[in-house]
Amino acid sequence: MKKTLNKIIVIYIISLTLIILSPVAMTICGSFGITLTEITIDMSGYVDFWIWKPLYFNAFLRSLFIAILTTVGNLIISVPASYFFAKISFPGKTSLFMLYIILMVMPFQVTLLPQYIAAKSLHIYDTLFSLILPGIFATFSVFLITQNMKTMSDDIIEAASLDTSNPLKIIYYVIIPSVRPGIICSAILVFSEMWSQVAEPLVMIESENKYPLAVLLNSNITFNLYELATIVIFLLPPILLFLIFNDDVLEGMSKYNLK
Amino acid sequence: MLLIITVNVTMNIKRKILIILAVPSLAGVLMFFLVPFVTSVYYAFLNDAFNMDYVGLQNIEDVLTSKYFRLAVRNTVIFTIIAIPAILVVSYSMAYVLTYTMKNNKLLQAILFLPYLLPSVSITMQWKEYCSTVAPIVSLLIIYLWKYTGFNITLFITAFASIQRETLEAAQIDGASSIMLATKVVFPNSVPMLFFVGIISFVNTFKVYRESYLLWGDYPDQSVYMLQNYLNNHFAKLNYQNVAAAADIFFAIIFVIVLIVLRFEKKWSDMVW
Repeated sequence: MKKTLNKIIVIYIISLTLIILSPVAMTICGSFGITLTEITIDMSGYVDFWIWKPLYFNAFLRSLFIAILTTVGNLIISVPASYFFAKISFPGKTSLFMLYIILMVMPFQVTLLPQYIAAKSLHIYDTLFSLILPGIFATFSVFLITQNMKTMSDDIIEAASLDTSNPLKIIYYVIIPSVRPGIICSAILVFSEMWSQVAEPLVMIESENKYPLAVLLNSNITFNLYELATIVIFLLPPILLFLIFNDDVLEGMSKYNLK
Repeated sequence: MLLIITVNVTMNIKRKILIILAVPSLAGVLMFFLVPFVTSVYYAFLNDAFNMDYVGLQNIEDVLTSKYFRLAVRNTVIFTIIAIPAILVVSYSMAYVLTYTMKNNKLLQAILFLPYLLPSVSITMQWKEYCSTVAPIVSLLIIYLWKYTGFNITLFITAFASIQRETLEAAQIDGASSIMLATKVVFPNSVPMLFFVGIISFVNTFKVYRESYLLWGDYPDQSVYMLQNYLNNHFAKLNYQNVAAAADIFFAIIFVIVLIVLRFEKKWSDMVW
């Protein structure tokens, strides 16, 4: 009885996955020149991307630069801040945290013009840093990691603070290992967010030769082989990141299995 | 005795100093989010961003009485009320099955995450075909679920991962059935994450604007004219004082919602722990 129920659930999940996958699969097939009427394998789109046409390749490198720098910077800033929000009592902390949540929830249309003014006055307008710096300070990961740290028991931290008074050491040796899944998850999400952002670069960056790849792919494209191949390559970095680090997220649960 | 008191006092002082950990983050937030946001609040009381004449509550009144703003708010509320519970139920249950019923879920999870990454424009053609037969609001809901379910699943799986294995084992040794494990152990432990995902899902409802724009342009069917259409159309027309006024109203609403959600979360955690 239980096994059949499990089987039904598994089939349900797999069919949902297939539905979700179908537009992606069509794009991948299209990039090799496969259509409903003819099945041929044409790699010319990929050859163009890596060898002949630098347009999208350069944008790809720019996107990598933006996403990697933002993700690393964001974690360096967010992890200590989350420790503060989750585990240290301080007057007015709850209000501060609420402020973080509200800023996180504001849609981009609301903050866009003020951010544009800020970028102008800091002289980072029309540079990649006008995307990287706000990304580093985005409150999303502080919130995510804080929520993860809240479930940690205080005893471990108390014990560690008897051994050392350096909070950075406590963070490095105790906090980070305990909330590793949350940290990695937020890294993947920050990376993906930066990787696929479109609206912000359109406002912050004026020169078209500085546009990240997502902007180019969301503008007027004709769906030729070169563009379809680029879309497929565009999907790879976040997915690879996801597959590489997924082990970490799932580590420690693989042995346990609720049936 | 005295020694213990001194230790306690010094620990308290040290703990206060630890705000320094949050200072880099606070400084950046101030510079890139808070100051710009306060500036935008200020804009709401000017007649336009260039002349800078103070007009008081005129803009806010204009927005509140605008037919389009009311329509946009109504549609947004309807969409939110349907979409958020729907995505929470779907993604929570799928995350649960992926975590506890299916062992080797790595690939499936990555596949489910794909839609979040796919550039919107690359599948607009497919959506146009799929969505021509259903009501616009339904197609928007489908796109929303399609795009963000995998995203939410990832978040839920992280929450499940940080539930200590000992807790689950102890519950099982005590004879908890699988339904009891799901409702009495896993669910209470993932409540903070449930609130978080709820809030994120709310943010994400605003990002469906991109698909809506690609499908229907600036002026979609009345039933899917959302707050983000309103904001974007006025932003594009450089009606910034109008956008700022709408943003202020929006801010007030969000403020209340977040306050309620946090209260509720606190009550819930007090109850569980």
